[in-house]
Amino acid sequence: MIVYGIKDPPPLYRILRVLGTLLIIAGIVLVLSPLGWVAYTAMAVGPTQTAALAAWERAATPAGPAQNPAAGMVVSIPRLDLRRFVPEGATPDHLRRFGVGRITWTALPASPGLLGIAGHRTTYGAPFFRLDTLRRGDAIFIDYNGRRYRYAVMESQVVRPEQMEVLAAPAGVRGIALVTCTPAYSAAYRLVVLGTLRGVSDSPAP
Amino acid sequence: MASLMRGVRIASIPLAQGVTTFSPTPPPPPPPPGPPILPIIGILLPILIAAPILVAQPTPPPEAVAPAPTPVATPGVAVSPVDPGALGTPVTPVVQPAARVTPIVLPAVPRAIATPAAAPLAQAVRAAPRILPSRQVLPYGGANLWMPFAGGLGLISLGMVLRRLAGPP
Repeated sequence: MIVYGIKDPPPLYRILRVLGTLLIIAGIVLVLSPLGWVAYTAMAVGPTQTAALAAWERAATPAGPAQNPAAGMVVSIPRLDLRRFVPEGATPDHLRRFGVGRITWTALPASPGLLGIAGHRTTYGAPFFRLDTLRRGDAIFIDYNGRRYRYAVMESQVVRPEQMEVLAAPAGVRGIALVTCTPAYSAAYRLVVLGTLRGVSDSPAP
Repeated sequence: MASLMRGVRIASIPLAQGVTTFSPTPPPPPPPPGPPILPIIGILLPILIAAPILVAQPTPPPEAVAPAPTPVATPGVAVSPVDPGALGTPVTPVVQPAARVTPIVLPAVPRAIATPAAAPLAQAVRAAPRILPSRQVLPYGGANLWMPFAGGLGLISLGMVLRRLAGPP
């Protein structure tokens, strides 16, 4: 009665204050969750990818290169400083374990058609995070079955996920297509980098 | 009765005096500022954008950076559609001359950003050079990480509004 300020606020205001605080805390956790997810998936993929790459290189000795096509392949992109083991099949499991995978219904390097390799853009090691920085003429190497296939980037396309016809090359054409999501942090579209075969040589010794 | 009135009057004097000595009621202090949203966004957004680079596993390039070994060129011999190594025949390094490389000519597929009408898209799909396998979409290669980020910013904003409505503590 004498001093008005010390009167307790109504319960509704206290509830609003507590609720607001909880929402702010939840919002901060939610904002930080992508960062944690990126870090967690990168840590999950790293040892698997490293072990697979090491096993592949051990098998691909100069005396006896890996002759088993099912053993997968290795993609190297010098501009991106990227070297990854690519398992057979771009299944969700493979993409979670290795970050990349060969799209099995596309052509193999030794066959006519487009070799399709899909990879994560931001999570699971983010192998294709900077795929959009590739320019025409950049080299892409595929080590497969004891041979090294050298491709040159020709163009990039942004397509909808259902536009699979982008992986269909005209008869006789041998090329490569690297597929990932775009824009970054979104799976709304697919970025497809297309390259054409420039040459084949023996795989260099690991 | 007179004593009562007197008492009331006497008792009212200090109150009246006190009221008159008060200065005009000062305006209530401004509510305490909530968490600054813009600095939070300014700090978190670059971290999120740079996260894949920061946590990406290092790639020791033992041979990736090195130039490809120069194959023994055999002019005039095109790349065989079948890998000779796979057939067990002697592996002869073969290179395709640059002039003979057929550039990729993809079917006229409209770009995704400039969404065209449905009819040209259907024509483009029908004009594909060969029948495609029955797959639904290109492999999933990313994640919608912007959703929790945007949702979190929304929750923070809502929480700040609620705290402001509740007034100062």
